[in-house]
Amino acid sequence: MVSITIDERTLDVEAGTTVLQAAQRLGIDVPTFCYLKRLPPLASCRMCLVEIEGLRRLQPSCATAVTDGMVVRTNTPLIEETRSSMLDMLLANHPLDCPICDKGGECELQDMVMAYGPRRSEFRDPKRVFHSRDIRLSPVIIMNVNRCIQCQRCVRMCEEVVGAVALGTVEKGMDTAVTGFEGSLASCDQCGNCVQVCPVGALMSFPYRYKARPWDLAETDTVCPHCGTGCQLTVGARKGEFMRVRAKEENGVNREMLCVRGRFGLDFVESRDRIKRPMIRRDGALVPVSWDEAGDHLRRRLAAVESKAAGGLASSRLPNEVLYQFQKLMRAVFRTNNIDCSARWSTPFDTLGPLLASFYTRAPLQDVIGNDCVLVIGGNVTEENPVTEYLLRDAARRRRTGFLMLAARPSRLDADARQVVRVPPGGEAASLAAVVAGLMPSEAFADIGVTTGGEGPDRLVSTLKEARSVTLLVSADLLRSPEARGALQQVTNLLRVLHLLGKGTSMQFLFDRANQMGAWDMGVLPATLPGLGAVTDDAARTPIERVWGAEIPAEAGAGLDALLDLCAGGRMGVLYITGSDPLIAYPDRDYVKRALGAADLLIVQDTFLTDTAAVAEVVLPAAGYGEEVGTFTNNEGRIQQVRKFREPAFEAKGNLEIFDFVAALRHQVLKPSTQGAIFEEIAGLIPAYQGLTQEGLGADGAFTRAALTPAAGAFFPAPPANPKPHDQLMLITGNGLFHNGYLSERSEILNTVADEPYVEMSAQDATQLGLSDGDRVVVRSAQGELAAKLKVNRRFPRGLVFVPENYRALRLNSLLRRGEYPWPVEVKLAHAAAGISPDTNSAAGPEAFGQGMAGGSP
Amino acid sequence: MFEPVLLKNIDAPDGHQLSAYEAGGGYRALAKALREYTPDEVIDLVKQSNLRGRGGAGFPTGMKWSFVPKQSDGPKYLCCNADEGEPGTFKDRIIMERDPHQLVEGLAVSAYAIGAETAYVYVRGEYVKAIRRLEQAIAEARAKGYLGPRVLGSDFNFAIHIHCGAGAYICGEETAMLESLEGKRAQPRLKPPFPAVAGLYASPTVINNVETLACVPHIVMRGAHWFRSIGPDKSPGPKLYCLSGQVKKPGLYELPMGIPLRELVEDHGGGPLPGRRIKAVIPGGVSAPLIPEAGMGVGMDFDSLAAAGSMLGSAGVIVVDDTTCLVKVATRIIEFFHHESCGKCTPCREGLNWTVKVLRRIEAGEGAPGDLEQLDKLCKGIFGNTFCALGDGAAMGLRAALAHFRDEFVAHIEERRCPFH
Amino acid sequence: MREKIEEAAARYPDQRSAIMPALLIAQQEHGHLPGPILEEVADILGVERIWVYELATFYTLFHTEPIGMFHLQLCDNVSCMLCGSEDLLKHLETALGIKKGETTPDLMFTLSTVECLGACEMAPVMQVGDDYHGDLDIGRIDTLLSRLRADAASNAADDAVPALPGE
Ligand SMILES: Cc1cc2nc3c(=O)[nH]c(=O)nc-3n(C[C@H](O)[C@H](O)[C@H](O)COP(=O)(O)O)c2cc1C
Ligand code: SF4
Ligand code: FES
Repeated sequence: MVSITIDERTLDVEAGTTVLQAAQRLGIDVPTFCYLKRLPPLASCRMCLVEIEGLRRLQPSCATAVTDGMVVRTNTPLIEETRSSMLDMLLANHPLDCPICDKGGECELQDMVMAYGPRRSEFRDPKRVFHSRDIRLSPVIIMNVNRCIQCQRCVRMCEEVVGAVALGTVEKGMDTAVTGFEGSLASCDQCGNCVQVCPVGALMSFPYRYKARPWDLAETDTVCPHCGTGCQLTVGARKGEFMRVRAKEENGVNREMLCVRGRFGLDFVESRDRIKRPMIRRDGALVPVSWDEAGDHLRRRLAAVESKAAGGLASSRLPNEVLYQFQKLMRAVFRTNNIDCSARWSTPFDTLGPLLASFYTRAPLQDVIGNDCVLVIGGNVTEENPVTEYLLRDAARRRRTGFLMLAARPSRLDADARQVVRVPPGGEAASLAAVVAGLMPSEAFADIGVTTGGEGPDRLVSTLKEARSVTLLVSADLLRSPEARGALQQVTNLLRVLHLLGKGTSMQFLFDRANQMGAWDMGVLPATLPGLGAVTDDAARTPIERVWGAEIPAEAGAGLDALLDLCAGGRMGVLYITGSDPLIAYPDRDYVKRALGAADLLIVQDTFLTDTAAVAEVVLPAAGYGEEVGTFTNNEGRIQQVRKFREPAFEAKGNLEIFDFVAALRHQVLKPSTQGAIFEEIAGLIPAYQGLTQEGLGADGAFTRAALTPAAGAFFPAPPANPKPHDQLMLITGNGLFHNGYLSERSEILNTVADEPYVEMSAQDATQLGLSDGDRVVVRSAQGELAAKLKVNRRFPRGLVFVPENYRALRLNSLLRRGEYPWPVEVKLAHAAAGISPDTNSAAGPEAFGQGMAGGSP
Repeated sequence: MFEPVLLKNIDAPDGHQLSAYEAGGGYRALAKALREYTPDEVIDLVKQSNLRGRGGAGFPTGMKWSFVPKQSDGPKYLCCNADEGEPGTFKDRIIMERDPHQLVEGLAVSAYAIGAETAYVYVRGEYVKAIRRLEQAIAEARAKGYLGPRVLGSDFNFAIHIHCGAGAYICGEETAMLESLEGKRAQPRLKPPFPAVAGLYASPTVINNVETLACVPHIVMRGAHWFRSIGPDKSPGPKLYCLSGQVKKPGLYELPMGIPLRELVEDHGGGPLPGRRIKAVIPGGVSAPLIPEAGMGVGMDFDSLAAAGSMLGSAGVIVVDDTTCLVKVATRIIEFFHHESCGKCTPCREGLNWTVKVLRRIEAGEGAPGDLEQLDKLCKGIFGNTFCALGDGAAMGLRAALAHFRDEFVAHIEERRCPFH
Repeated sequence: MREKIEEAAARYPDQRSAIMPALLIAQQEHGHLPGPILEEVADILGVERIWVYELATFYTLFHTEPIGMFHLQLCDNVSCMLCGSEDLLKHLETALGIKKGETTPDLMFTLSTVECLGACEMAPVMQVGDDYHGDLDIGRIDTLLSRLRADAASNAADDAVPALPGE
């Protein structure tokens, strides 16, 4: 500790603290421009100059470390004069076009001039205007160079935190300008963090430009609906119309950062693709009806199918309260445990449950990545959870966290990783087993069936051996594979062996859905109740039954695969789908199409007219994101409030209200039925949520807590060794950076950034196949084929083909067969493939929903 | 009569060749240092000589070298500042063009002293001839074993690389030079950490000027005492003075440190052009505040010039005579700094832009009352508040012009024209 | 170009350091540095494109726009100004029919003023290509211009790439 006196007040601070930080701790205001908390000091704006006793010159407080006994003054006449002089100089060439500047009213330069500036300027020469027009750097970012004050926050943010290195600075001196390569940011992340940190109106959001004045916006703090990172953001709306998103420096896991989806992808709320009124299928077509008519129809149809099975599928993008109420509806009213929360995979909860119970770390990401070693398993964190990746990069660079990557798909974070192990697609389980085997002191533990690790896993083993504490970040992508159970078992093994070796362990999933964690916690699973107790366990079931005043079936229900089997086998009476689109997402289009068509009654409750809704018998318009309140539980186990910034559009009703409506049709009442009361019930019933109150969820949310139970029993055996390298190309899927599915694809802005689906492969494979970047190619599997633009990725390993799963028009799932992953495919130049016209997306030909397929009509 | 040391080979037509350099006793200092001295002893010797950096700041060279951590595993670097951008300065160019081996030997001895195995010579890109001569000298020296692995059979390995600048004055500022060497825009770095601790590629790095390094072999050969016997004890040694401007015999002069400015300009430089009178002299490149004629008695060394409110800087002595408008000179100087400002910090980037606009207006006879006060205010806002010394140099230069020749500025404003036209 | 750049890059422990030498090499071969060349340099060195772009614009010796066969760079800093460079500039502008910063329509000459060339002992000075020409006056400028024109003509006759004039 060293002692410092600032403006006559003395304070002890840790060595290495800067004068600015010390002043801030004392509540002393020191103006800054170039300083940004998460970046190393630049000390270029010279606003923060202070007097330090014994030094002849003023010193930049942002970059001066405190020394013991230092005496500092921040409020002398000289400092005031200097600050005013800096501002005077900045204003000399500043265009002062505040009336038409987007930043007017929330501009740091304006505020600073008010607080410290000269009251008038002697400047009387012509101002520099070196670009008379704003420069459109990308579809979403536009630059007014004349307003720039050269604080370089944007460039540093882009390089040091985002890692895109897309922005830079050209020319020198007075001609200096921030820009992208050759004046374009066409190939950047479009995350807009540069816009966010710009203190003035230099870098601007193009979609928001000239749209509103800050003081006309009603701002609502809420949580991003796009992925499981769960960033806090603030939506600005004017009279209910969505205007923009920004993030606050002090809030949430993201602290001011967002990715392209969060910052620019919320305009989907304005999508025209809304379901406006209830619809029922008549003569093969969906026709709009009133809620009453829909109710009458439903009442009859529900009664007719009562003797047969029921099943429910809900989206893990819905809030906790909606999900909780949905499973309650299914269990208590439809008397079934046939429920699931993913349209993409059946979750092997027998393995997942114990893993979560033993190891899931409900704690801030910032804490768990402060461990000296972090192993990222599967997926591509850069594209699936971009802000998580920004935070990881920051940890690697500034906190020296060692990152180890084990995945089939390369990611940008690889460049900052200490080790990268590229596994064959679907080979995560086997590689993890090799790591586990390598860590096992062989005398002490039974052999789990793997001895040879291979070079990659061996390197991981030696690094992990040296680590003090290890965090596993596991991509939810692992669940895609038929080997998911094996992979989760090896994750469990790895955590157990690390634990036995005396290392601190932490584990979190990297989900691509905003409330996947919540969906599990709420028990939207066939074998698991809210709080993750087994439905077959009386001790878990009874307390819930008591609270609900209803009986819960005691046998495990059907998960996604089995639900579809029930349908396909003609045994499903009613399938109730809320917010989910299996027709697009389920990895076997033919099968899911058949299954949905074979259910007696298909109810779809959704905001948008999805492909699945288009084949339903009854369609119920639900409130969308931003139209109802609730909570999300993110990857960290942080529960945060999702707030409402507009009323449900058209005739849509809140999801909870619709559940009441449906329950009533079966002459039952769901109690409680308001969001607040449901939250209370959750907090009473689910141990991890015990004691939480809505009011207690501050700006940062609150953490759910779980008492981890040590894993018991033998280690899981190893899965089959990694498949021999294929000669064939293997197709995998996942999220791309700009889209993660059904919300993002309805964002007009995201579509201006990236509307074109693509196929990614290595440069070597492309060369061998005579393909080059940008070619239109056809990907063909035994099931079907699709055509899209080729993106050659130099970091890709040979043999790997990636197609993002989120482009509806691509119908990727028509190429896939369930139970298989990855999928062998061929890739060819589009026009060379016989019989394929370059602009047909699916060999199956366009499907005409609602006409050819009278799905589920009686 | 002072006998030149640094320039002794300068007029020989083959002075740039190894044979000529060796014939004059070249590379004996390197052999002597390697054979007779430990690296620390070389540092001590240079400390005792009181050699001060010839790049402009006059920092004691031996002391700078001693800041390099002795125990450090990674590489250390020696960087030679041959960017020579200070207007009025050309000494380093002449050394490199006509006696490049002197620099090569200086580099080798200095690198040995600080424990560096690699040196980068940062030469401004315009100096094509100097670069070729230096490349040739490096090749010759390598062939003869003065460079390369196991120099002259010792354990000392040493390589020199040339890095060409590409036209930016700021690269002469040592930390901007390091940024430039690392492939970045040349903007100065925060200090601390100082380069001696964390410089090029975050490794310990010493940066020295060409002339500074060229002095080192002579100190090794003739001893610290000899060096200190030339000129003032605190600021000793032979010194290269670059004389230019409105003077009869412009050129490069090697004379003792501390020689009176008047003696340099009038005796050696032949005084003003016929029929003219000296008005002022800039003693150390345009960063150094000018000295009016009456002050020309000042000694040309670091301390005397500092005491006189100016500085020795790069010893680029520019003579201005009475036919020249001082407002024009001042404007041109500020235009230079404005053009060369790297753009990093507010006062330099914005302040100089404003200053240039006011000065140009005054010079064109469009000055207004209050302009001079505005210039004073701008100088105050810039001086001491910029990130590096570039802004300071500009403000000091302008302040001196305003102080000594304010009447010329006033005349421009009052008469609304330049009195010299 | 690739070979030369890779050779230069070997002098540094970090590829980024080689951007400047690489740009000098690229400019020698192509005359100036348009976008595709910058991309090629970035590719060869495996560095970010924006870094290459930053340097190509920061340093005045790099040209992202085409320049004439002979780049006349007249020093107009203090020492040269004191020795009459202003008159020389006016003369050059008249003789070539262009203003400073411009290129003659035949793409033969680009005229610029530059900051101190570090040769004030021979002020006023002008750099043309690699060479310095000092102690200039109007007569010498005229001789120089006709020599450059003659060089260009004889080079064109030889159908060779114009070698820069010798000393
Ligand atoms: C704006 C600026 C420009 C400079 N230009 C040069 C230069 O061209 N050559 C030089 O040797 N030193 C120059 N210096 C000084 C260097 O920063 C540094 O002090 C010097 O190279 C150290 O070498 P020395 O100790 O041998 O003098 C400059 C300094 C500043 C602030
Ligand atoms: S654009 Fe904004 S953030 Fe970037 S340097 Fe300029 S003022 Fe700073
Ligand atoms: S905040 Fe310290 S110099 Fe800008």
